[in-house]
Amino acid sequence: MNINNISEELKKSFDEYSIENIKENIEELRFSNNSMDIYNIWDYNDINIFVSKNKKIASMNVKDNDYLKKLNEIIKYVPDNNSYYGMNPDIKEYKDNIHEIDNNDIYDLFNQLIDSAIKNNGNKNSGLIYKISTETTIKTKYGEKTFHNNGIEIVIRSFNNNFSGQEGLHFGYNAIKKIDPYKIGEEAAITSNITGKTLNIPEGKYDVLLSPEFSGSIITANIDSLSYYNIDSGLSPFIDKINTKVGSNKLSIYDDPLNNNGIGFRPFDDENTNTNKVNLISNGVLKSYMHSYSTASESGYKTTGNAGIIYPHPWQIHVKSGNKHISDLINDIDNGFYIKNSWYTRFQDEKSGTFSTVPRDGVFYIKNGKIVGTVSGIRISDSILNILNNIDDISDEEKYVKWWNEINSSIMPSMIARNINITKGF
Amino acid sequence: MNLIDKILEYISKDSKFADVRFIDKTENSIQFRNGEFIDSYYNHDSGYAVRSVNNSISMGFIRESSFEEIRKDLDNILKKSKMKGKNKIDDSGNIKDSWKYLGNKKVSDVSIEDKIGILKHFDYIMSDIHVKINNLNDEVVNEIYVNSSGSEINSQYSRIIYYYMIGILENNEFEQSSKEFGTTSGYEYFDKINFDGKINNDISSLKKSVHSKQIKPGKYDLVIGPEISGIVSHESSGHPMEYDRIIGREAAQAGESFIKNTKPLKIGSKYVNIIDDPTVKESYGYYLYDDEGTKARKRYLYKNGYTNEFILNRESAGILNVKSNGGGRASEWNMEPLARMSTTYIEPGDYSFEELVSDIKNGIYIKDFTEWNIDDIRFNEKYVGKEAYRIVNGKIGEQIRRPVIETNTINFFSSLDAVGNDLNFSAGICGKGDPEQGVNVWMGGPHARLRSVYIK
Repeated sequence: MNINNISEELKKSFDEYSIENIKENIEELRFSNNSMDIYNIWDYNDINIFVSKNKKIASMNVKDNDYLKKLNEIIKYVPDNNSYYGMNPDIKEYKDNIHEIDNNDIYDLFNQLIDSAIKNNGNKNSGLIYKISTETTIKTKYGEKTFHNNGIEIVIRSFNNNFSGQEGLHFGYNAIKKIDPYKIGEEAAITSNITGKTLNIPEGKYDVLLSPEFSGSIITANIDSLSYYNIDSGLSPFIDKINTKVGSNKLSIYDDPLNNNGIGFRPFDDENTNTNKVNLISNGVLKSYMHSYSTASESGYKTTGNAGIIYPHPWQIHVKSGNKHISDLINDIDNGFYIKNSWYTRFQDEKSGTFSTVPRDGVFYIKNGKIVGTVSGIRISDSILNILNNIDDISDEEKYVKWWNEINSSIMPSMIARNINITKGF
Repeated sequence: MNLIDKILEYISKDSKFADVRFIDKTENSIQFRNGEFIDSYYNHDSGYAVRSVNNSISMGFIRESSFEEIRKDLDNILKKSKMKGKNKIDDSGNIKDSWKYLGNKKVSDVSIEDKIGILKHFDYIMSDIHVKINNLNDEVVNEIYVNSSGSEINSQYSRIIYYYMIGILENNEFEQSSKEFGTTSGYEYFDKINFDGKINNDISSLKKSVHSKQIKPGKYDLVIGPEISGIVSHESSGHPMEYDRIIGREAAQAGESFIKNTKPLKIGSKYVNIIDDPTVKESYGYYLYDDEGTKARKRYLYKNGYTNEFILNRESAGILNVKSNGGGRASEWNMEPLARMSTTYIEPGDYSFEELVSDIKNGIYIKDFTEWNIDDIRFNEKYVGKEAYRIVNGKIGEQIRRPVIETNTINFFSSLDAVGNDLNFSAGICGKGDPEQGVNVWMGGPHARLRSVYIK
């Protein structure tokens, strides 16, 4: 179905609309125990539309010829959405760059990853490689834009008996040439080989060094609290905190969609607003929520280019790096943990941002600036505000981390958070 | 010849085993937030999942089109299956069958106006709540599965899930609750369940919880409600018994399992019997054939305190050199089938609730939970109670706030010494795989008693 024809039809029945046409070509190689499990291939188009008529809104995908009839039926019955304030009419130009993805054979990449991990004593390796190529067109009442995006995602979890190390990385079209599978395999295997003595450390407050992956996991789990949708819902610890302190002076968090070294590259949002680097938290001060035109109009701000028309969301979160080497950060901890990754973050209270998360893939105890052993069975049980306020130092190195649904494509440094609550099972 | 048969014929000619799954799904979704309509979504989608097994396994996901247009996609799938990799699979077939369950008040016959009416009503009875989110989703699925071993299975069913989240703010103290109710049937579901009563009870307990005190950490006898039985069955029995996890297929995502091999392992007391059963009629995970054309059946995951039967799809069954037991599920037409749960529950025993409580001198009753999580071998887990009470001298006492169970699977199940005779289920969306697939499940069980559990 042609989006120009759809546009002409929608124009007749609705005040505003957005048509999203995504052409995807994605290949995925999944592997475990050092051999390939499956090769998955997706190659097709999707068309999704959002329409409004006064305060009434509806969304649907377009597959059937009678989509307009269905849409009119829905619009007839849905109540007004009184939080809806329209779509951005002020559309700036965007010039697309078509970057052909190198004809990377991801099977070769997989073999190189495994070779490297095994050579570095990572005996058993699991993971995946995605090769992604998309063409996205957004057509609204006010204009049409297209962009192309290519990228590679690599995840490898390397095991040495009961110990594991994991690398989860993403490469935007500008970084594909920099992929070094040998280094990635080596890093995962090296972490799995930091074994040492297994220690039984009591519950309590400790300093924690968060790796880029662990930082990414915690930020991913909490970042929607900065979407105006969550603010408006009453479910965020950041309500009424614009221009107030929500983190340490050393902490700055951006949405960084124009960074084409990452796979989260996104030059315009779902209503064709050109994106930009958005300061969310600057030196610990909350500067902005994430907005669409509608949520911005509702709350008296300007759109930040984060539509989701109804649900604003981030494209590629970036925590600003600091100036310390990772070895100095380890050295700065007298009694604490170095945690390389975590998963399964769940909240008991989304209003205060109180949650727990389960560390994995490298959990080390640090005493007087030295890693002295490994630890299992612990949890971070704390709140996002406490963690952000206790960021004491940040590494000079950033990683482009992405893993499963736990870490959205983001750019993260390592960070020291002081006085964090650690719990464990009995 | 139908397109699905043409695809199968073409792909089978050059495969050791091949199958094709066609799914056509229509979904509707409506959301209310804090008294206002927020969004609606309608989705009708369909396509073919084509799998070829040769030197390895490959799958391609193709939208409906003419055969000539998709031939190059099929050639690509075949090409990828010639690369070196794992290729063991249960290739059984020769079953021709169909099943259908749409309930009485069919999803396709219920108007959007009526669905909005359902949500408006729930929103209304939550009238004075600080945060209230109400979602209603339904779907109608038509599925055809064919394979190179002669199977052809037709499935047709509809599913509904109602989700709400409420939050109470009093004296700057906040408590929240979310619940999911799901079924594989029609809209008569809303006539069968006393939703108003459940919502009102939840609101009432949250309001009390805000003013309740936390308990002194220590060892207590514990009675758990069906929601805790359900989440424990799912997390600490269902997941670790998915055989693809045990062999490392999910190691880089949801992880592996504390169960390392096929030898029976003692995981708890003799009272622990946990079942996964896709054939529980009208359950949210109900099916009679899985997404790989294998007949569904009841499986005892844990029996008398020991591991008993794994959850298998065709791929993990092939590695074990046995037949699949009907656990192969894919969340959408464009996803690979994985070993998945359906309805997972602790088998009821013969104690009444009063009997479970009666001989506890100093204990705690935790009815349901808020925060929970578990490590990636499904061993080290945490559940934070939501509605919970002291038990003193065999009687339910005052309400307490957010008691925490942080333990491990074997400690938990080893402490279990009595199982109730009731049985209740709650719905959930279980995540696994990459791309992540959320499949519809029920989890449940009766009330149960555990002795001397550390609660904080």
